[in-house]
Amino acid sequence: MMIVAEKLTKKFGDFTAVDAIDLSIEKGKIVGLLGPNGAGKSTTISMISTLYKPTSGRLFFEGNDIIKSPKWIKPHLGYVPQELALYDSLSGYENLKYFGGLYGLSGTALKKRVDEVSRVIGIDERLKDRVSEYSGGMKRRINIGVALLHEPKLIIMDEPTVGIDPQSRNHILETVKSLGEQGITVIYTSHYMEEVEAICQDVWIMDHGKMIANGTQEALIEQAGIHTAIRMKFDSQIKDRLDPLRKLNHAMAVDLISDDELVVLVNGGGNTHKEVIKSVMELNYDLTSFDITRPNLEQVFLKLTGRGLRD
Amino acid sequence: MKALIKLKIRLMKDNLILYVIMAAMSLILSAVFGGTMGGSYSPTIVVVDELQTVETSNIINDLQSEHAFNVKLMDYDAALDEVMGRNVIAAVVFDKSLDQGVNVIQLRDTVEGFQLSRLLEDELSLLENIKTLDSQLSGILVNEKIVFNQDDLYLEVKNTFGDQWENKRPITIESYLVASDNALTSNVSRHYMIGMTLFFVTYSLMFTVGDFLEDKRLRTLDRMMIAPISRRGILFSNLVSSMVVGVLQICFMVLAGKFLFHIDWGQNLLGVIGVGVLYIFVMTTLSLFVVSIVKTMAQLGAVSPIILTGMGMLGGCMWPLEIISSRLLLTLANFTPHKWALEAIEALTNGNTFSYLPILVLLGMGLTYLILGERVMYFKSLKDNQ
Repeated sequence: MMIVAEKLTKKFGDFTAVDAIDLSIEKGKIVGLLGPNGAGKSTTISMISTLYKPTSGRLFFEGNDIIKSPKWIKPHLGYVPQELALYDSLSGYENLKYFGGLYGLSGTALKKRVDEVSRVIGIDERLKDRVSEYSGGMKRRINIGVALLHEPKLIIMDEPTVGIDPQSRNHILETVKSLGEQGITVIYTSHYMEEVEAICQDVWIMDHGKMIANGTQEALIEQAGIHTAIRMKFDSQIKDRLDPLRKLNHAMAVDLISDDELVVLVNGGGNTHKEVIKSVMELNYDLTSFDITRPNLEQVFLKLTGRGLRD
Repeated sequence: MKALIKLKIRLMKDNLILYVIMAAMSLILSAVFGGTMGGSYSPTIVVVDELQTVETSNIINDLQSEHAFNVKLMDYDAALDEVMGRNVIAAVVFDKSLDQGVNVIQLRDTVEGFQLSRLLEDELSLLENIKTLDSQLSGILVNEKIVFNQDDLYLEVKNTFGDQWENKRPITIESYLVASDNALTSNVSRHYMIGMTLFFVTYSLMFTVGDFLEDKRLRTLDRMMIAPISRRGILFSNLVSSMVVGVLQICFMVLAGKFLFHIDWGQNLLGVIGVGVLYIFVMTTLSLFVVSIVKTMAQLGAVSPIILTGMGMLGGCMWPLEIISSRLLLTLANFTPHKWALEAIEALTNGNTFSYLPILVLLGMGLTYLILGERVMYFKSLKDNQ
């Protein structure tokens, strides 16, 4: 395991920001950390990145206790803060060079890494311009680039796509995906559920300082008891022909909406909805159209926390 | 840590205008103060000579020959009007026997008034000594039954003793400076040059150290804290880069003083710069302490002029402490680095003597502020973390 937290707790005075969470993150995975504002995500990230010292609990990086000795994680950690932690008056090149220098890179090695990273984040052409002259998206890319210079094993990204254009967002998401493909572990927090759905293999959901669910997206959907809904329309009345449909594999429930329209709730992830449609076709019912509503993390989140992610 | 120091120095390029303004202000104010209160400037005094004796006439001649003052003769009422109208700095009134002293009328104490008093004291002291010597010699000659002319003897004593007095004056003045804490510095221009340099260098230092607050605001400090570099390393880098700026400013001012104002820094120029570096260390650590207390750059901007101007005034950057008579102010001056740095540099430039007490006091102050600043920052970071 790359990161293991045991009963990790952080209190600010009487307020408990993170309440005895257990967490384990596998090496090489892109992990989404979700939760509404005040859920404790940033505090958890700050503890992992050694900015905050936990009030109690244990925290390990590759088996080494990083509360006792943060030196185990520091050289291997890349951190992308939510705020643009850059020097506006310096160029992108100078920013990258300086922060690379903090990790002991220098000379040709540093220059080489700056060149590589600037290509990865797609900003090599305007690297010598001042950061103050960059667009929001370019600043975000440099913000990420800074965290990549020293080739970290673990990258923590705290809402790295806030307030940027779709093109830059796509570029950033592609960059994160490719990091995962290179075996780098990424902890990713975002308010944009679709981003987490698109790039994260595992998802951890926090609320009120507690870890309330975790697993793959399919497992979380299963855990939340949310089903795929297939809305079907037929050419003739269907109300007298429901029994065969109720007996179909994976069909959890069949609700009639009108004489010629119904909704079938399907359990299980993957392609079970396709099997159901195929079976309906085989029954020779005069199916004219259908619409599939697959469960997503937003629904899972709503079900588990009782509120939306942006509430 | 090398990267951090390099970054800070690079960032200073953006504040170059601030440093240029500070250096220019030091130069301009040194020129204005030094030119007004020292250098070629000769303040005007009026003399009222109601005695019209040879001695008073000699004193007036001496005052004029010193070129320190522009001397005008007039009657008492006119002299009083001149003083009240602030046209002259003082009126010297010879209206009673010289052994009873001389009246000096002035509206307020000034450096020039103090210089005038010292000059008159010297003159009167010389006259008194000649009289005493003449009287002693007369007694001896009478006892020995040697015939002599009283006027000739007085003249002989005056010429001989007076000449010796004149010839030995530099030596006498030197011993006087060493013996007295109240001795006025011989070079007012140099005092203001040193004072203004010490005063203005503190502002740029305060804001350079204040970059720490800016790093906190930008969250770049978080990035540094996460990097494999210790908290003390970050602090130390900040202090070193700030000190570099301060030292460059001090060196520039010493050279500007030498070549622009022809200031004689004495034989030990390295010693002067050394004390300057020590002073920069103290002011850097003082800045660290102030920065550790405030929370934002805006707060720093609000408190630093109060602290720095107050300390500069108390410490004698704006006027020599010799003209201050308040015991309270003089005691408070002891708590400012400015006072000790001025004292050490002036000791070096005036007499080429290395003064250990100011050096030790400065060192003590620097270490105290360093420890206080570091500890306050540490406890604040713990508090932020709780």
